Amino acid sequence: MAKKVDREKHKKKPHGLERMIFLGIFIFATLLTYICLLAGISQYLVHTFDMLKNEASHELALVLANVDLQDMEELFAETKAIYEAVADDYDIEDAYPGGADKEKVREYSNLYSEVMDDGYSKLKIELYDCREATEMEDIAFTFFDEKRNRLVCVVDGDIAANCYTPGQWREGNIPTAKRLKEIVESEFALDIERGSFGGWSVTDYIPIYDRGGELIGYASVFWDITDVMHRIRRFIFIALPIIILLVTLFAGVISRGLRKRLVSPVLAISGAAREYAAIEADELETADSVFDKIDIEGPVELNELLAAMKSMEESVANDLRQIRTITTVRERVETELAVARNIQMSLLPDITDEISAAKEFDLFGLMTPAHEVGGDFYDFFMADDGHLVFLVADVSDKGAGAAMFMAVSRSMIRMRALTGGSPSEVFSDVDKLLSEFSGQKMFVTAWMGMLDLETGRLAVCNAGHEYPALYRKTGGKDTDGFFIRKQEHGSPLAFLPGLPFPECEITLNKGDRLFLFTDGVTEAHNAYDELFGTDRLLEVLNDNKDCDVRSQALALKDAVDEFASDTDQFDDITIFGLEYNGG
Amino acid sequence: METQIIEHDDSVELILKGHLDTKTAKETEGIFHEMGEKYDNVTLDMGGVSYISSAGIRALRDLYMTLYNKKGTLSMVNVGDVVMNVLEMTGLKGLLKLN
Repeated sequence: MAKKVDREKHKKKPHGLERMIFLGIFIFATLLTYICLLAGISQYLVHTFDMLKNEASHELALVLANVDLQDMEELFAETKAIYEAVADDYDIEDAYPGGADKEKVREYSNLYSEVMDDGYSKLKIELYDCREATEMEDIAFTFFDEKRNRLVCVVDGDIAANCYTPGQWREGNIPTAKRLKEIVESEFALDIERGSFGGWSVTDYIPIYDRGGELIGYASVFWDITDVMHRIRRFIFIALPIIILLVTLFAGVISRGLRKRLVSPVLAISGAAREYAAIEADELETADSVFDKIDIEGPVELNELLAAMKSMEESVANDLRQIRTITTVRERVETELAVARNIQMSLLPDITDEISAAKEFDLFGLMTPAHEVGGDFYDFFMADDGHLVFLVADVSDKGAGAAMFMAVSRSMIRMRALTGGSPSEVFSDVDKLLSEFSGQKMFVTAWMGMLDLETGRLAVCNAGHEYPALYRKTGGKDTDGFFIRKQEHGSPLAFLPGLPFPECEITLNKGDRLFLFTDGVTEAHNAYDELFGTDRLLEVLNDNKDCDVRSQALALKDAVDEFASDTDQFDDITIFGLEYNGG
Repeated sequence: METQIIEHDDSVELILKGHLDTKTAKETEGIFHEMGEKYDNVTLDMGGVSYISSAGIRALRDLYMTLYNKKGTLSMVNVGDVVMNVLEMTGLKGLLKLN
């Protein structure tokens, strides 16, 4: 199914990679071929020119060997002398064979009649023979008139009607001094001209020296290379289409090969990846492998990619299985913790009819664990008709372990207290029992009070717990508000064996209030790591002392929550408040 | 929590620094256990300790018990207000040799 989808896409869309490779190869191969072609042509021209120059030098040497050098030097000297004398009196129309005014041309030519002696004729014949024997179009002895930019003829090897006579010149297309130097010194440089007749010509200039070694002029050798150029053009016209055809075929074959070896496998893998992505999340674990189905004949790297995709698929399935297992376990633990939380909350006492019916006091307690369950608790119950027992305790840990220890501690304390005895006796006995039990080496701080409802006398035992906050409604210096009531205390329960639990007493009068709490209140901290602290605690209690104890306790809890609103709850929080209404 | 251990012939001094709380107590407990087994007299320099949680108190309690059972002593020096308050509340204060 996946492959079918691929192929349809394949047809509709331009295949990027294949096209890129085709164009790349095509452009590169074409450029390379053109460069080779240009190199070949220029090499061919260089070779041709080299041969022409060699031939010219060779032929000139032969000519010079056969003529009387003295005659030649005189011929140059005389021609130059006459030319210098008359050069400014005539212009090009009078001084070249094709001039319109034949009379003028003849008149100018006749100025040089005296130089055309035997020596001149002999030289002309030699040059003519040379010209006839070779491929040269012409060979002539000349000198440059640099001032007037002219090439002046001394002897022309041509004998046709339009040949140059001594002193005649041509203007324009005369090589510059620099170019002339290049032509003379180079093995292949020639002066190339596009002739007015549509052909191509090249000219070589070979210096001629007199016997004293002085430069007296140049042998100008002239070839028509139109045929050569035509041959090159024909070659290019034939070669180009063939090259383009071959390059196209080459690029096509390579890119087609790459499609099979590279593009198709890539598309197959991406198609499988798409198919994989379409699988619903909850089917990923059980679905058949999509990457196992594809079989590619690609390069090693693509096989590596496919292998990586297969292992990814496998590890995703494994991870999902693991996540499912973890989720199942977590859900079970959550459920169990929820049950544990319910049980723990039910261990905290409700305000029974008996308690609420009692006129002597009002009370309220709350406990909020940091986790699902916690190690804090409070408790209150009637020990007998005239005595209310209340306590707050804090197991030295958090979480499920602490919660179990809390349940045990709570039951031991309540059961022991119900059998009678002072808070000190209760704690001493529970301390022994818990020490035997304390497998995890936990301990409990606890504060217990036993209130004589008639007299307001409160027997207190503090096992390493936070001191309570007390409020005196009437009588003496303490009526300003809540204060921390410090008294002698013992160590926590199950902390160290054999330590005493001293008992103290507080006498409550009508309207006095006592608040117990755990360190979850005072050590609650905000994002700046500031602690809620005792001062804030007293302030909140004082601000709310006109409410009933319930509202006061809830106000304190709200203040703590607000203070620590930008941090996670750090510890279990317990608050317990009691107001004595008198006997 | 950083712990520097200075071992003498028959005693050891541990210089503690940081918070002795739930996160660090386990490691500290290990060190306490090892040193408590090895020496009869252990001195804790509490100058760098700014907070002790109940887990930290447990570690101190266990070290005290280990030493107590073999008639050794646990001493503390440089105890700050916060730590002193905790020692006082738990009753450890009366059991230690404090300087």
